[in-house]
Amino acid sequence: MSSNLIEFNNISKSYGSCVSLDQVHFSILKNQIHAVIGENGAGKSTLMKVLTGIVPPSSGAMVLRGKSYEPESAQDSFREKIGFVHQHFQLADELTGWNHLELVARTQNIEKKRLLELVSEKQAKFKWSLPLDKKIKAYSIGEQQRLEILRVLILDPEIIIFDEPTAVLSPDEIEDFLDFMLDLKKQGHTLILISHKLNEIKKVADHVTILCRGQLIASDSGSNFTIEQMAEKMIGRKQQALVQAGVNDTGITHDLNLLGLKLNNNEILGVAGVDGNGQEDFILKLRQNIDLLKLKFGDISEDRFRYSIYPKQDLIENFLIRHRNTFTRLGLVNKKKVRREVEKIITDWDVRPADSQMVMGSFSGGNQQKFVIGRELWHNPDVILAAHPSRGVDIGAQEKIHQALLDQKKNHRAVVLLSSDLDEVLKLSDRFVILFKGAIKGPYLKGSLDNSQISQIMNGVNL
Amino acid sequence: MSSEILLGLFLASIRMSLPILFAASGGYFSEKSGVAQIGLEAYLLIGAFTAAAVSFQTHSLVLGYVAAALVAAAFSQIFNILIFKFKANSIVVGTGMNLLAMGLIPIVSKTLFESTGSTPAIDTSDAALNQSLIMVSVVTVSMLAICYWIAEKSSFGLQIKFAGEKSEALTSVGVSYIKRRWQAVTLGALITGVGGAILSTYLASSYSPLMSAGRGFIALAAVIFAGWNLRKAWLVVLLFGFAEAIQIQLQNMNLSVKIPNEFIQMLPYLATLVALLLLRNKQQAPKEIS
Amino acid sequence: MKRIDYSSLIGFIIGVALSSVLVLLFKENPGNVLKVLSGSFLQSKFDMGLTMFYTTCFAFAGLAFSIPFKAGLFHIGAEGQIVLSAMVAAVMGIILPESLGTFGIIAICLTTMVVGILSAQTIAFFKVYKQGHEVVVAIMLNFIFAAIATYVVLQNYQNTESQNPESSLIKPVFQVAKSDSIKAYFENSAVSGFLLVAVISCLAVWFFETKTKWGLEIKAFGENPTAAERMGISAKKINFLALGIAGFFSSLVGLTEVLGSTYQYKVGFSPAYGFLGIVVALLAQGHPIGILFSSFIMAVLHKGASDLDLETQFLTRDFSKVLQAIIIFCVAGAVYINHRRKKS
Repeated sequence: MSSNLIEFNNISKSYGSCVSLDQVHFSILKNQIHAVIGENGAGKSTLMKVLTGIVPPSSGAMVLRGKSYEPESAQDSFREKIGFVHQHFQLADELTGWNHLELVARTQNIEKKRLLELVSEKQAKFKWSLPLDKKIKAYSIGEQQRLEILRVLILDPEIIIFDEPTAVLSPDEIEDFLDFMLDLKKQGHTLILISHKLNEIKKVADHVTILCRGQLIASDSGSNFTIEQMAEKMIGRKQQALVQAGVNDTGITHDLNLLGLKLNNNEILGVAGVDGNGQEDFILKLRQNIDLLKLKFGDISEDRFRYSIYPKQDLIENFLIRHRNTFTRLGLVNKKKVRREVEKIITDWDVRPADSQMVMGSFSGGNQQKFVIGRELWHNPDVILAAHPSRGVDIGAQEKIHQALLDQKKNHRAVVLLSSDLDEVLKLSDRFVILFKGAIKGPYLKGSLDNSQISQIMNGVNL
Repeated sequence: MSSEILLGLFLASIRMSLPILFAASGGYFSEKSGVAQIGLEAYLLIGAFTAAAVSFQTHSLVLGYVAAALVAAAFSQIFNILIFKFKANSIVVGTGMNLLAMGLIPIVSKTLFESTGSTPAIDTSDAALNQSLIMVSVVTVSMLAICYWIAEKSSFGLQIKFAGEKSEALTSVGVSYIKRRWQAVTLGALITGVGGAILSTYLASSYSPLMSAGRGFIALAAVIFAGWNLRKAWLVVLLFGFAEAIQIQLQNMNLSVKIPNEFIQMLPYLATLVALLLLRNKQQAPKEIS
Repeated sequence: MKRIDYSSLIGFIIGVALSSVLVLLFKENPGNVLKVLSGSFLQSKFDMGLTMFYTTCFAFAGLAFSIPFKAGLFHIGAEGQIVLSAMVAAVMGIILPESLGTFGIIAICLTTMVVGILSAQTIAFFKVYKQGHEVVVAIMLNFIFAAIATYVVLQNYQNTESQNPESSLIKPVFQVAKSDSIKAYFENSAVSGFLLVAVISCLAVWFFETKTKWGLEIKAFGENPTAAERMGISAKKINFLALGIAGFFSSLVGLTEVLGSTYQYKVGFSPAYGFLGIVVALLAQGHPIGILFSSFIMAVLHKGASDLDLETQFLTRDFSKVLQAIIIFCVAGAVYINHRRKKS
């Protein structure tokens, strides 16, 4: 018979005037897999930070195992047997696996002998064999994740929080991981799963709590939600259907010189694959070849912060530096002409707030991305690279972006859509390839493969 | 060369390396935790002056050493407050620390001793010198042992490494990386201060203006040359000391081919640059150093 | 129109005020100290001229730090470049034949500038090709260049008519500043026509940064190097360009000293211009026109501090170092407080 393990009683958290959590009130039962879902900024991470003592709530209280629970630091949460497996690994490249385990062990006064016992015990239980003497930079992504989990397990937590654990895994690895979670549950643990992968949640979650903009929308048994219902509640409205552009038959083909891959200027070519299978290389080669062919290039990069925007400069400057050669004469730049073009982009793409002199960093992720797309399409590129175009962007803007990409086919432009989100790739592409360890498998026509086949190819099976 | 001369050279290089050995150890902790430390010069000077002044007044070497360590550690709090509370850049503030030390000491000296030059000489009788030698040996050996233990065996040392490589790892186990860095800097200043004490009371018998003569920077060069590894840094310091000892020996031998004084002086820096030139990126600075 | 940020100026004022209060510990009168510090440069045309000389050097040093800073580089190598270029200028002035006349002067200037540019670009070389951090390389080079300069001068060109470690004077035909009208106006103090060069330099840099493509590329690269490279701005180009310009300005300090003031190389002539350039740049928050003003303010203080030795009992010219340190700290603190204020 389950009982309340954790109670969140009207938890609120504000940072200044910004409300992260608003009277969130629900319970987590013992020995269940409890999913907490929501969009970016919904408050999931903040809630977990409150639970693990990293930040205190502004108001409200928590009850743990029937007693009042007010953690003042992460150490308090360890003592209460709560473990947190972070989404972004907190591993130092230059230090060894043992260093990381020692760090955790020594803060909890676990002696070396006991640590060795614990480590071999846990590794045996899950049939792992991590190279603990090696530095992290020698670890694969899967091994890094296992080390992160091991770090948590050696403290024998009763409650384990997993934050977006399958983000970096291939479909088969995801299956393995879901089984792993069920295994943990069988061993008596209580798991909190933070994820936006609704199909995975449907498979393993006993209970689902949905947050939207800091508020609790629903908290109910997993069987009482369909995936569509969960999505709707997450974004606050029904999802819109996409309008598919008609495909032109007459089109130009660009020979991309990438292992014989040819690109048509009236299609979206999808590039699927788990992160770390050669995407960086692919993008680099793509850019180089486009350069060689002297084609005009629209670059919606895979990481906005790293490659597309200058947060401290305003929209005009962000536009100018990208198209600097067009506005330069004799080494001098003409800022006045630029402003007109930027205003147009703001209007056409509904960038909010409509202020060309506001610094880029002040815009939300979705608006930044919309501006970037407007800027990258401004010069009528022949080829457009859209890499992870909806990363860090809420569902509303995501829909606009997807529609925009589909519209490019009408304009006789070729789109290369690279994304680790398989659903996105399959939804938008006319043809697609799959990257596996740097090799390009395909191209396949839309709808020609089922999920199981795709999964196998993503894991290197030659079909 | 006779073994006698070699032994003499060896001992001389150790002797001359002592202050740098301490400064390098001090610099190691700061840098390893992620805080760039170009202010070692300041802590050497502060330690040297404090030790000379206190030893003179109290006729006690021990008090001089203790005072040097404490005053240097206290002085470093200015740096810490500016870096951690005001988020100032550590190179800029480090430059300020050096300036502050170089500017304050003569003024304090003038106020206390009516002299902006050297402090009054401490006792240099044979008995005093012997006591000094014993003091220095004990302190040095202790420092080496303690620093090694802290850096490689203690929980603190491990956390320092994480503070410099991936501070989020510390946050996730509930340890404040700011606190660790603060402590590392303070520890570093304390150790360097003791090195300064050795400079003014053992290698000399008083404090003279700017007597650190760039040793703080040589210590930093040694830490970098050694790839931010403590024991390697010690070896590098001895190497530099050896070069200096050879140069003095050569000067004494009055050879016709004389290596210019300036060349020997720039040897540590040149060596570090050459190391950077040849060794392909093998030695990485702590990832989070700033 | 962006509002001017006065936080560094406020920090400066607080710094000066704090230093004045500090003198109480040494039984001095803060008011007296402030009077000496702020009034020294006005005492005579000569004093003003000396102050303008400092202003010139500080302005060049400030530019030498601020341009690489915009490119994301922390350039503390100016000191070594200044010393090296001064040595080259002096040596050229000693060995070039008198018959070269004006061409000789041009040759001296050009060679010195090239030396300045190349010595600064050494840092770029290490950064681009060897992933060497620019602070480490700069510190090493500072010592190496200083050693080289001292060695060359003392071994080969020591002034036989003096006990001081300094070079002989450059040949009279090259001592062009002797007929300099600015110098004449300021009663033959250290200042020279290089003052005008400094003013023009600040204006030119401002124009470069705001109106030229290269200036914008440097700024973009400094803010987000990965994005800049993605957009076709080469890291190599930016590093060598920014540091090359910085080295150019470092060499101008050397020329100001040798051709414009002493006509020789004196070991230790620089009161850490390279490092004080950092303070000048910080005070002006990197703005080239601001650097003109902040270099003047620092020059006034520097001049004033040298008088403290005489005017007070315990304070020596070392106090200028204390002053500079406290100003550095207060400016850093004030900029931070203002940054926090703006955020919330």
